[in-house]
Amino acid sequence: MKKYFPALFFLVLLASCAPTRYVRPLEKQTHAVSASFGGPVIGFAGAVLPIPFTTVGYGYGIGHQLTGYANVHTTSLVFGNVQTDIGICTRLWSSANERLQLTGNAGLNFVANFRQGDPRLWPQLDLNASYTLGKGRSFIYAGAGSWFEFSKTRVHNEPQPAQVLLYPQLGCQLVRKHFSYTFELKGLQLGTPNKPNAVDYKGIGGNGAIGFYFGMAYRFGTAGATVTSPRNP
Amino acid sequence: MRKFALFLLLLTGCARMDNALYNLGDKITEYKLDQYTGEQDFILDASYTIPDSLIHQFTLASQAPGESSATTIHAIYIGDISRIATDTVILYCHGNKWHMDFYWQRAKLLANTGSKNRFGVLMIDYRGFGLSEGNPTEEGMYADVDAAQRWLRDNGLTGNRLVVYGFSLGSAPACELTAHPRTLSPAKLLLEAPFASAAVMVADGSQLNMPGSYYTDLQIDNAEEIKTIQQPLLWIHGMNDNFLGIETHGEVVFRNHNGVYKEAHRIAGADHGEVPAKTGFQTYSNLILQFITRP
Repeated sequence: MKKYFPALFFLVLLASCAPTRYVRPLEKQTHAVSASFGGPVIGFAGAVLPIPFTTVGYGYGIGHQLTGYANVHTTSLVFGNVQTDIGICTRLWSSANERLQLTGNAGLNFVANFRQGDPRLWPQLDLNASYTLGKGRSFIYAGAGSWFEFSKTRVHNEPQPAQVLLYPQLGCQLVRKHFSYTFELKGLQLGTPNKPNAVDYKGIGGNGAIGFYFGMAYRFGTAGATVTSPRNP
Repeated sequence: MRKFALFLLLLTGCARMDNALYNLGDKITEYKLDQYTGEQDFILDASYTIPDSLIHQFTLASQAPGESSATTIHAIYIGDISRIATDTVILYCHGNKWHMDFYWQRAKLLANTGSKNRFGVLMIDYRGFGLSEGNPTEEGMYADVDAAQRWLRDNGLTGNRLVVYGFSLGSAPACELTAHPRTLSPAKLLLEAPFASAAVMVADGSQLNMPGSYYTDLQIDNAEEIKTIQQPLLWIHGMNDNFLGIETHGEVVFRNHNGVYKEAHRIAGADHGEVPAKTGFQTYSNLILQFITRP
């Protein structure tokens, strides 16, 4: 297809604008500030690159099994929208030495336009299994996330095509004393053809989009604060 | 802290995606028409050639509401200007890409609909496109098309002999000035691969019930404006349109038209910009002719 649009009409796939917030809960009473970058991969000006969604956030270890977090989406802010996601991460199961963990995130994504309002709320659920690498605290993980659209209709009173947007994800987190670095790959709406669309998404076999994300966090507040290191590494 | 807050205040809300609607990528210094060698959707054979005597290039002064001065835009009229007072004229509102050289083949095709140089065709480059001055804006685009209608009126055209054809982005001024006429109220409306609204683009891109206001201030809303249009409508759309999907854009516009007459042509295998070629030039011309000449 000859391109009729200069491929800038793309910053819209919000259900994919950040990596998993907390794959593992923080240690109790640990604070963390974080930032993330990345998004679905698109074709743009002859190149293939991830949409540069950016977010900044804060998390707190409420308990050993539970972390609360809140994030602001700075790219959305630039477009005149306040977009936040708040939620919790909890450990659902772990092996005896906590090397293998099953965790879940539940969050609410709120967006509104500064000038016109138009508020929207999209709940989000994530489920991840993670495995600690070697003797350190870094880990790999895989799981699935989902956004929920409760509206049955959309603009012009047309039917809303999907109520649940599912996406598999896998990644790794390199954990250092205070810093951690997350690299994540998502498969966004892989069951849905990515054409027709004004956005030139790059997916698999003409479906969905692949998303690449990078996140980093700085932890503080407790001595040697960690991201849920195994108890007996 | 105050400086940071001020920075955030300045930063917040300054970005919009409106300009992404206008694809001005190919810069030109003159209109080459048949000698244009850049990318085109299709190229017609010599039987569609327009004699030089029937090609009129000129400029128009366009002034949008609230503007202090006029903007010079470029126009091309195909046909005998002296016949404007007595014959049917097609006002072609082109898409968002580049300039009139890109759409020249389409204009020729329309001019030769029915028979050789059967219809007069007026085409303009919206402000910021091609050699037209200024920067593209939604309101400016409407003013530019209205300036074209004024030129037609000044040359003797009346609304009952005006047919407006909107392709892709051109569906916006075509619908706007048919629903809310400023100079002439057209007799018929043709829409090829129209988009429903900027909001549909955002919703399609997000797969969510996301408002268009999150990313654009564009008020283009063909899906709603078409509800007020009573003129006969011909809608034609490629079933493989990978840019403005037939289901979420074209079908919505067509379904919302409540006028006296409408007809639809869904072209199998046609992507955005491929409708005339995939339809077949003769078949395409025939259905345009039948619609225009329909009582």
